[in-house]
Amino acid sequence: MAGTVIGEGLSIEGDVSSEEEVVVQGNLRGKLTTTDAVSVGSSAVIEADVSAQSLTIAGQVTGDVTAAERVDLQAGGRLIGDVKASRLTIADGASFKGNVDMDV
Amino acid sequence: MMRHSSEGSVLGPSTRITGRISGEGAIRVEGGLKGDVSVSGPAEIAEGASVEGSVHAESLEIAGSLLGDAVTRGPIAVRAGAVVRGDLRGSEISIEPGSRVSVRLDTQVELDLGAPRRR
Repeated sequence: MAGTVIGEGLSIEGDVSSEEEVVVQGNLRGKLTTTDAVSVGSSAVIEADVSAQSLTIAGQVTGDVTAAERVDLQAGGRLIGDVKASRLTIADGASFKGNVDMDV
Repeated sequence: MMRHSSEGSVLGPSTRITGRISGEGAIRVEGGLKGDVSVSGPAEIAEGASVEGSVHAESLEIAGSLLGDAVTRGPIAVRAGAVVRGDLRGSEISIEPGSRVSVRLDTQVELDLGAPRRR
C-alpha cells in the first residue's frame, strides 16, 4: 500500500514533498517531490514539476519530470514536458512532447 | 498495478503539503499540511499529524494537532493526545480526556434560554 494516495476527485494546489511512494489518481497543480516512486494513474491530471526515484505515468502530466532511476510512460499516458532520467520507456499509445536528457 | 479506492486519499507520515486541498471523498492526514482542506467525505487527522489551516468535511476525527477552524455537517471527535486550537462547529462534538484544547464549540443547538417565567 502506497504511503500517500491522492484519490480521484481530490485536487491539491501547492507543494507536495514526501519520502514515500505517492500515487496520484486526482488532480495536482504545483510541485511534487518524493525520494520514492510516483505513480500517476489514468484518471490523474498533474500540472507540476515532478521529482522522484521512479515515475510511472498512465494519466496526464504537464511539467518537467526528473527521476533518479526511470520514467515509464504507459499506453494512454500523456506527458508534455522535459524528462531527465537515465532510463525512459514510452509505450505504444502514449503521447509525449518534450526533450529527453539521459545524463550521458 | 495496485487498485486504490477512488473514495479515499491518504497523506502519509512523511508527506508535507503546503497548499490547498479540495474535492470528493474521504481524507486521512498522517503527515503535515499547511493550508485549508475542504472535502465532501470524512476527514481524519491521525496521531502525529499536524494541520495548520481550516477543515471543512462531512465529519472530523482529530488525534494529531489542528491549528485552525473546523466546520462539519456531522460529528467532530477530539481524541486523547490531540492538540486543537480553533473554532469547532459540527452536529456534535466530543473531546476525550487527555487532549489539549483551546477551542470554541458550536453544535448549533437551539438552547431554550427564554426569559424566566413569572408566576
